[in-house]
Amino acid sequence: MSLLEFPLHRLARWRAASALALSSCLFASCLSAEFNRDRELIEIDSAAMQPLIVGESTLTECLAALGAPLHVWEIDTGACLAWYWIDKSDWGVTLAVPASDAISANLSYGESSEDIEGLVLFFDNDWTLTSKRTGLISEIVPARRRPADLTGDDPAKAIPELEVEVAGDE
Amino acid sequence: MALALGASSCALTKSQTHMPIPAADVMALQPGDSAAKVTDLLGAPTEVVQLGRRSAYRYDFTETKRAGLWLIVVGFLNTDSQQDRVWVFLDENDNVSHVGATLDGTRAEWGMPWSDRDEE
Repeated sequence: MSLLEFPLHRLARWRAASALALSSCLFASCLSAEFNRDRELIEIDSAAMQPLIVGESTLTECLAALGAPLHVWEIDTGACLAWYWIDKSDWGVTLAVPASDAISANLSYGESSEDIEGLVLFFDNDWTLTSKRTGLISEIVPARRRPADLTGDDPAKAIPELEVEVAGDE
Repeated sequence: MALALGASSCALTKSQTHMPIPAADVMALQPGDSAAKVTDLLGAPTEVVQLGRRSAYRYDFTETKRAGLWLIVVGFLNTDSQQDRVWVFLDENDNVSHVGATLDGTRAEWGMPWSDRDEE
């Protein structure tokens, strides 16, 4: 054995031992990592929103510029239309260590981002744009409400009472 | 490296909800058309929204493509979901007043979490 061969041989053994130790640690401890990404719909280009002018633009112009909205709601002053898109990613690391035959310990850590951003346009009853807002949808969209009563002022008249008959053996 | 390649796995899946919306049918709708013509062309809507004495019909088709890659202890999963979506607005007389359409349902892509979508 030459003087040069001996260190290389030891180095190779050290590498093999290290790899074995690392892989043993990974498999015995069940270390796993994952990276997920979820994309839904295509983000609306801000340039498409620029020509929309509050007080002037009509529903026709807005639909032509932005396409079909995701949601349409009735509000007191007319209607609001919402467009949004999702680009959510999350990653996590899980380490499960068998402590004994019956017990194992888990340690996990992860991060995620779930900000549903979008655009909400408000229209009056003549379908003229009255307001446009961008940002987090949950902060913009007004609270849902029941559809307007079209039968009169008395909400009770809108929904006739149901007459329920229970049939029994006579 | 050999172990990682040997023990790796991947998967591609595609799922669809409803049927694609034909662009020609959407283009055939014009203001003044009746609600009956809308349902003749597009079928039953997914959703009907009351807007005072007016209403709006929603039609949609969704395609979702998922790609996954697992390398022993590391996994990557990417989901891309796109839609055909049409809103038909009807006036007090149930005639079409406005139509809005987005036909992106076939643009869903398989990819990895770090990849960008191919913009047309």
